[in-house]
Amino acid sequence: MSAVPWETARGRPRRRRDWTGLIFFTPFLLVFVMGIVAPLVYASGLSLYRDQLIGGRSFVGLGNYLDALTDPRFLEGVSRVGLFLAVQVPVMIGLALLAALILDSGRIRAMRFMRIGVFMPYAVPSVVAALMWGFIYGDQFGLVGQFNAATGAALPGPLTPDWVLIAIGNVVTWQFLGYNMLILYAALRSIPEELYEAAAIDGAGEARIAWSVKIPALKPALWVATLFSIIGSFQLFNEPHVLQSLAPASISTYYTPNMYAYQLAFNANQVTYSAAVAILLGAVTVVVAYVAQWMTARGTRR
Amino acid sequence: MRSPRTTLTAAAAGCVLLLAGCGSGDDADAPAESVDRSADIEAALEEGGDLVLWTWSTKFDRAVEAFEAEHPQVDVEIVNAGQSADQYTALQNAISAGENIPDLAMIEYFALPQLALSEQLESVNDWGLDTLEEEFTASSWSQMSYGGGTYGLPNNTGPLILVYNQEVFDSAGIEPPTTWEEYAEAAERIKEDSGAHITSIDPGDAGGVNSRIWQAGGRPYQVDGESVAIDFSDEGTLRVSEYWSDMLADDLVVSQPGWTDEWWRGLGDGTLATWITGAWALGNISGTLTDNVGDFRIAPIPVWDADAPENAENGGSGFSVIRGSENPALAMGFLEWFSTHESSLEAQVADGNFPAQNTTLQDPAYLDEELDYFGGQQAHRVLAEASDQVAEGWEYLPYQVYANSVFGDSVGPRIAAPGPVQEGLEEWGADLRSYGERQGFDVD
Repeated sequence: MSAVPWETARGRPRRRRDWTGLIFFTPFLLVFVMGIVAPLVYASGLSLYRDQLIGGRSFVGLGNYLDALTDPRFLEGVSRVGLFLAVQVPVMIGLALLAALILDSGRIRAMRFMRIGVFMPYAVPSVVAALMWGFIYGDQFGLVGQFNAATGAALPGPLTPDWVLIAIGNVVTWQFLGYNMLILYAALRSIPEELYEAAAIDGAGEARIAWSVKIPALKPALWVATLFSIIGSFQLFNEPHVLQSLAPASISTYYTPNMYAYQLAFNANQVTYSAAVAILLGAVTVVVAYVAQWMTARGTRR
Repeated sequence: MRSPRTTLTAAAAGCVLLLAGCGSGDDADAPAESVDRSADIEAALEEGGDLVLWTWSTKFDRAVEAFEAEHPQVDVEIVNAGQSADQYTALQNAISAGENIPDLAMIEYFALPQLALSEQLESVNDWGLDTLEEEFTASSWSQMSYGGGTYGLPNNTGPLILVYNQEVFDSAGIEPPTTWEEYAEAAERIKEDSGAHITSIDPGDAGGVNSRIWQAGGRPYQVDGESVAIDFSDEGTLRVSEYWSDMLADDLVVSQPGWTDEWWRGLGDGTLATWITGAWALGNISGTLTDNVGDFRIAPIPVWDADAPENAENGGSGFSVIRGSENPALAMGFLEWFSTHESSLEAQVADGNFPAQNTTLQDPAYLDEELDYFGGQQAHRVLAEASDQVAEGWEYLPYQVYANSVFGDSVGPRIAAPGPVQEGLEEWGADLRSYGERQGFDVD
């Protein structure tokens, strides 16, 4: 990074070096090294050891990684967030797209109110959101219970094993719908007016404009929103962790890979194994995100 | 049973200097020698200083104030570093970082072996406080001990009791059951009368199930130094798993996580008729369900054999001096006063603590107190009697913190579904065995 001025200076008469760029760059570099690089290096180092209550710490090379790759708990967590990703992300992005198109059409009343209303849940901390939904999901005194009592219906408890993943997906969708809508809405606002005019001259209606002008123009923004959501799905932690105290039999300690890493580090005395699991999870996320990008890129070129 | 107070011998002095080497040799169960360091403790108290005490309980503020009033030169700061497992994690982090290590911490009995084994706690034998053994109930003292040493002083215990809703019982026309057989009959009567469940079982609470196994005579965990044996197939364990599987299958009890808003409301409005809990629960229920003054009574826990009543403990904790404390002598001085001095115990009891100290448990003023919240009942008598009947020989695993954390993974679904609880226990046992092996224990 600081090598650049050296390179340009090579072979020429010594010039006064310009450090201005470095001054602007340093704060980021410091935060990046301390916040990202150092913990990653430290965790990678840790992951090569094994901690035991009897016997202490010993070097095991890649042993932790080999264990994790055949650990049914880790694999179960990864496949669960994979399933979550495959269902929840398309639903959420689809709804966000719909909301953004509705907002952009300018055909509804109280637009500002709707924009704020949909975005508001994103401002609620996810722990608070999970707690709040935990109350709503209560099948005895919560909203679900009250609905059942009032109508004589028999809605299943959202926190039972069969429904809890959907219940979590609902919380996440509620929270991040507005955020994704805003990304898409901002992209819609930057589409040049001429395209709409041209489409109108060709006789396209509002729906046709949405399909043939807006959505193609949204592709980069859709991709950004999807990428964030893929990463978010693999990182799934707060919602299941908070709901676990309400549903310990439905949400295991290895429900998501992040929860498993947390459990290993904080309850199971296996910080080093936890580091290996966390790094493997990071690798899986990178691969999935890369594959998604590759597929999108191929689709665009065609 | 107890080791005599010895004077400062050369051998013992060596033991103090080489703390790490003591009590962790081959002969791990040999009682550690007592070292009289009362002079050092006295001097430290006189000189004064600052102490940091970790607890998430609010029952000790006034006792600490009383200590400070008597020792103005000592300042004790109470810090809430998280509840239970969260605190033990924070403690482990502080110790491995070598920073912000508290001088003392509240340690639950189930966590003590793990913390003692990983050398996070100071042994009281090294400071002569093991001579206080007779001040405490036998069960609490043995639960603060591990591998021959005692790692702190007991504070509170949780002998099982039955909290019941008087109105629900009156309406069903029943008296508090004295045996588990009667308890099942009472459950049916209550169900017919008001549709209420007699109680709930928390699918995430290992402590509740452990205490029921203990009461039924089961001893699933055996520890001998670095060897552990885990067996959930003994008679006592089977008795418990069958009984509760049946109660769940007949919908006489309901699976519900405890301490949640839903659960407290169920207890408050009588849809849960009883709560099987430890003696510490009186303060919790009267402090939480403040609208229910006079609704609840305390009864002895139902027993398996009316001719030979046996009890067990659910929870309970003591206070320990933490390895790495900058002033262990002062911390020990505080610990002794806090755990045995009359004004400290009075303040603790007034704040709802159920003591492990014999003096309080035998104090007529304590026993005769009529508690308004429990309809004027002399409830402390029931608690003291429960404490007397606690059966001996229970041990926790040296990794019980982990064990309890994964209870919900294997046993939880069998309580919630419900399926045979025994199947869940076997699966839990298998997990605990493989974890123990991975941690370097000799597992049987």
